[in-house]
Amino acid sequence: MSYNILVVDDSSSIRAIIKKIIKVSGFDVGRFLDASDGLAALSVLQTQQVDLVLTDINMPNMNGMELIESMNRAENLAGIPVVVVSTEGSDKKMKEALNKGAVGYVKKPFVPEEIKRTLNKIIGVGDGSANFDADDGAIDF
Amino acid sequence: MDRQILMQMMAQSISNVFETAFFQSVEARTIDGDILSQMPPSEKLTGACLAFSGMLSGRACILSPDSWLRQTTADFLGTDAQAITEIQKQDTIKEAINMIVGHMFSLIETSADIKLGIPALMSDTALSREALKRLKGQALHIFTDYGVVVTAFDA
Repeated sequence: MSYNILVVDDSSSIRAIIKKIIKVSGFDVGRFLDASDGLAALSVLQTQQVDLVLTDINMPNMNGMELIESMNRAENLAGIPVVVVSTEGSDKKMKEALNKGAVGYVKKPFVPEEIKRTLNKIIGVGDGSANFDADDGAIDF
Repeated sequence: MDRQILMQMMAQSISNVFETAFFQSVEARTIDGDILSQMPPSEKLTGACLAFSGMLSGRACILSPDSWLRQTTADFLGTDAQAITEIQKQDTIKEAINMIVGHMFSLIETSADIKLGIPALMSDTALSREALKRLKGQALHIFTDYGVVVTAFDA
């Protein structure tokens, strides 16, 4: 099965980096979709087939927590797994996200291996084509 | 909260963020005088700030010369420095202060109830030399592989 993945972050750079990591990790990706905040993400979710969402928390208009709450309220979106990727690193914030239904939490700054490990648990193992250096987190493309 | 401890945590956070996200080793030194003393005098500066509130309120800012920002953005995105756009540079500096502050608070108190704002670019007025001299709070010079960056913290 190939997965359509929605990456939600107000930083286009972070969106690009996350997509690059997923791509080189060998996951079976159908399409990558983008949104710069929670509201834009909801719009994408209502019009496109999305199988997995990775979202930041602190964003304008609608933050990541509100996005998860909105998805939970919508019958057609409630089952889509959500991974939070955020600078908010407190235990309290992580528990809050997981209690709301997030299935994973990656703190920024992250090394590529953390994204890969988290997605492995959700959508299965990538093909291992990316060479993640455990010391500095750099990716060899 | 003791300001000295905050600055130590900020220096630690900067080190972790720069090494993990930007692949740069850094050395942080407290600034006693002019915060621009280590900056290239004729180079364009870009700055971003992030406000926070709750148990501790204030803001933190980062200020960088264009050469540092261009090369760091290129490393961050894994692309050629000459192909980097203004938007990408702005994204990088906003994300830098976002990660520094978020990571700093996770180091200080894992259960701290502190709400982070949205990072915003400093205006041209705020980046004038006169305005920068009035920047309140404590500041650090961050010596990196690509030059010196300034961070300031006011809480």
